[in-house]
Amino acid sequence: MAFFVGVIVVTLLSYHPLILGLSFVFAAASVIYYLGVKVLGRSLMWLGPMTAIVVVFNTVFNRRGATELFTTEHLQMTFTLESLLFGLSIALMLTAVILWFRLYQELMTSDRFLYLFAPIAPTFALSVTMVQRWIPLTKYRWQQIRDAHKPSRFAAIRSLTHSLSALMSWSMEDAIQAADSMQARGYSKSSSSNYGKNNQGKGAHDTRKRRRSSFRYFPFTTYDAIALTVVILLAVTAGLAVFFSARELAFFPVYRGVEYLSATALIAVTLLMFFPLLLEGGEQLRWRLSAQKT
Amino acid sequence: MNLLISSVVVGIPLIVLVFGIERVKPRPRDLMPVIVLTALAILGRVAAMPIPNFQPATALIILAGFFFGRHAGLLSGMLVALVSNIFMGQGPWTPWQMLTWGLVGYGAGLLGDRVSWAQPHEVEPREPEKNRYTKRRRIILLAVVIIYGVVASLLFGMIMDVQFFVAYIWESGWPGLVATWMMGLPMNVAHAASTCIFLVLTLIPWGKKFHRLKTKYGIRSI
Amino acid sequence: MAIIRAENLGFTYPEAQNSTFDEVNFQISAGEFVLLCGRTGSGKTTLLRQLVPALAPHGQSTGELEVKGSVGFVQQTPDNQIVTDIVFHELAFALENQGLPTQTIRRKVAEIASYFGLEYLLEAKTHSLSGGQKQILNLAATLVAEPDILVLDEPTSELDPIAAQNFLRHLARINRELGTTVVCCEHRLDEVLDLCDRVLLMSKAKGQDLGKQDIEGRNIEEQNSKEQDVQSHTAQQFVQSCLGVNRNFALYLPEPTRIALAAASAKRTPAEPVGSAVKSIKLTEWPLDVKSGRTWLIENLAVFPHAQTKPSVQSSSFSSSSLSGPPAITIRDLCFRYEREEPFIIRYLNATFSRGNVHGIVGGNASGKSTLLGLISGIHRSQLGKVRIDRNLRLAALPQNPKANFVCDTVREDLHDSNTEIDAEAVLQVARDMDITHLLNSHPYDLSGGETQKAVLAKLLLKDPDILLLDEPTKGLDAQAKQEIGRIFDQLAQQGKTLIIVTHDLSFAAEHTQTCSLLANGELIAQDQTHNFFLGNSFYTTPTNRMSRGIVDDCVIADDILRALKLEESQQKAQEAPLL
Repeated sequence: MAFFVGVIVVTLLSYHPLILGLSFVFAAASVIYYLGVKVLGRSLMWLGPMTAIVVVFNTVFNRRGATELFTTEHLQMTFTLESLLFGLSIALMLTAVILWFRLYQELMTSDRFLYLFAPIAPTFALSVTMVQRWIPLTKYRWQQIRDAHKPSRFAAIRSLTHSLSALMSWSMEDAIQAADSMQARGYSKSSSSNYGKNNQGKGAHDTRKRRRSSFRYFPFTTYDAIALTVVILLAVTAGLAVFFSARELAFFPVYRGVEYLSATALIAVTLLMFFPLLLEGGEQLRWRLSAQKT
Repeated sequence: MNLLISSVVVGIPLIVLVFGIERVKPRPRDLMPVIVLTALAILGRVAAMPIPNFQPATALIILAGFFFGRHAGLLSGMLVALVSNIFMGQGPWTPWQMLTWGLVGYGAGLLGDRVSWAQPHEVEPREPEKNRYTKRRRIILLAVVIIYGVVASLLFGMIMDVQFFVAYIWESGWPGLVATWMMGLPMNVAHAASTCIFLVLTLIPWGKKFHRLKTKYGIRSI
Repeated sequence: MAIIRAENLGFTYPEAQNSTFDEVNFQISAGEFVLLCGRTGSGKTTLLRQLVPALAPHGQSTGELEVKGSVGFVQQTPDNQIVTDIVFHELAFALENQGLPTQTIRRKVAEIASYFGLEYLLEAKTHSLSGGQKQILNLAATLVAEPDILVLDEPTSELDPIAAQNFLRHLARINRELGTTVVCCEHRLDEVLDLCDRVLLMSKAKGQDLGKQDIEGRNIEEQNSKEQDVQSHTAQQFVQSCLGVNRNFALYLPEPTRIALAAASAKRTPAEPVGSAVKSIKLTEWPLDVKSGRTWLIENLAVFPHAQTKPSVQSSSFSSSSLSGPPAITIRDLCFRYEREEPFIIRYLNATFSRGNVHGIVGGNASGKSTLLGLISGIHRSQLGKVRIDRNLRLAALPQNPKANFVCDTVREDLHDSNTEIDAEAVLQVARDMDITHLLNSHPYDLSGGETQKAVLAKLLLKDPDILLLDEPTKGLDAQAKQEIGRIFDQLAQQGKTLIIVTHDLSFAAEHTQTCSLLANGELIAQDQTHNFFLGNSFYTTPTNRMSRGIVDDCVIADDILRALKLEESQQKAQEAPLL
């Protein structure tokens, strides 16, 4: 998680083409490593039009910049080289960020997400899991309802709305049972204390005073701690280095400052973005070694 | 840089709102309608992906807010954005969608507070005089909610366009923003239309069902 | 020591006119396994919910209820109780609510998973589990909080027989090994009766008018309070009481028990008074399962002078001519699979279903029974082979989950909805046939299992079909409702309709179908007359058949045995005995 935040922040910090390029390359590499070339191809295809819009819009509507490319007479519009370059940079950034997000989505499954958020916002985090539980359930019910109504000769729309409302009622009705089951297992006792009159015999486990805790399935090991520290250090170094060295970069009025980019920044950024692949590689190496020994 | 700043700017109210929900501490019973409607909305959103921007999600969020309270709408909106993007692709737009949809739901909740669905006399629907009154009331109600739905979906689309604009093409200034809106307009109109259609189809029949559920199981608005 | 004590407990729902129950008195001691039974609508669920402090339904309650200790609650539908998407999270849920630290939770989750054999599923998505696994997960997720009392509301009614047995075995094990008090409401008495220590009976009071329901909780134990040491024998006493006071519950008993009861209450000769056989039957214990049933039968065979242990030529009441009607559905070389990569679920299946008969299809879980129905009704399309349905016949299918069928707010609207051209009179007629006229204005989801099934059937019948495909029509029904549904099926077949029933319930299939076939390995094996079908099987057959095999031959259903013992006539009387 820290890794992703770090990477994305660093990518967003600067429009420096070199850094953006690096980010893009590593994002693409990681996507290929974790998800395969196909996914990368599909993502890029989908990103194509979007980046095109970005480039075109930046070029068309931005009149700043000194180097004129051409001017259209009747539209009174000037197209400048700077704005084109700027558009391209931004497009690169967009692509890189989205690829990182794609990766993030694949690696940060819901339970890992909750792992981070459950202690802070329990209701919200729980809702997220519950929705994820309900989606396949609702899908299944929908299938059942459609199957039940297929042989009938209803008008399509009427049948659809009816089925939808049946789906809703059914889900609601059953959801109430789920709520009961939650309550029976002691969820939110504190907020339902005046609910039900027959609770003279309170259980031994009276939990009113205690806050709901959250269970973490993934243990936090020393290994994780080291990795986290390294990532944070790298991210901070890279962030600062990029921020200070790349702010010389300017697009307008004249594109300049590309040459100001400290070596520290470059190295830090590279290391940071390479980190997950590095870890994976190391693991594979170790696995090979241990496999050879036995 | 701008993307970063804008994310932070959006993130802060988002966190505040999440804590707002936490403060309410809804009972599971009150939470369930939100979950059900959210799951429906997400499925609808994913299922309708082939048809560009035809999505029942906004309508369902509005229903959640309107019938089950502001926080229900808020939570539903945020959940729809967050969870459906698991299927459709997370991105820098996720927090924006969460915030906007959340606010759409919240607004619907406020609307629901103003024009309440249930009237005490509805318990006895047999009297025709009152029944007619109810019918007229419901039509007005439907109109109000639909207007809200259309405005909300248009605004939602426009805010999403602003997000795009701020993140990537802010340098192009106002003309760029206007152009983005123009480009997004067909999409947003489609969105508004789908919301409208969906609300027309569902509001009154579902409203009855919600009402029954609320009385039968003692669900409170949150 | 009483862990639960109720005194004059009564309860009324907020908008209801009459109390759901009143004057309920009972005590449950720690460590007991108590079975709560009663007719549908007798307030079992309401009473159980009263026991769970967090769930006490809102309404007017009177009297006193004392529950000492924490309560865990497991409900009917496995799917509806699972809250989270991953198994370990579900198990941790209750512990999180207690605010326990992660380390403790980790340990307890691991512990409970090992206890229930769920370790290999810990990281699985909850929706990928089977129904039985889900219900066991629910049990585990409840038990993980270490409740003193476990309250279960018909936990096995949605499970198939094998999963149900498995679940109940787990339940008995918890009771035995952990000493947890179990209060279970269950209508599948055949499985639970020999597990439980005591039976708590909720019965309707005599004055049973249409709207008025006075329900009284009655404790068998108190009824027989003069006797000592009732704890271990209460199941026996319950059976005994079914002979007299609780005759209408006899239907709920396990088949061997029912046979013994019927035999005991029958007359051997016309001259004898009813029930005189009881004295001559050597009765050490009422048989509760097949094993004791066999012992009972061997021991008591001599009591029945006219018993006919070898099949006579005319004994088979099923004439083969009844099956040779014109075929309604012919299936030839049918093949089907859901995905290209998957193996075929149905392969080269051939079958003929004749008109005007009830056809049963039995088979294990995931053997493709429902798929076959889907293929016949046209929901699925076969990859190879053909289903030929007679052109003039209309077809209607009843899906496994009746809730999928209802789309409107009242039963009446729903019935109208099924066929838009139908008039109110026809709806009323069907409703009368199905005996659901009093339910027409209720919401479909407020009906009980049996009522729901009848309403769905009514809905199907309004489409005026000639062929009915029914997927697990007895799932979740109690014995009473099953019998009614069975009777309706018999009537429909007499009207010339063709019914195809997919079921797990062998006894039901044995009693109400004319032909039966086993679906296994993608083929329909051994399509035969029901009677012969079950006689031919030795494992996959009815309890009666297993009980009587080798002692009294040629028996598949309870009536067969009684007929063989020459007791048929009075058996009928016992079954139709008026409600008490």
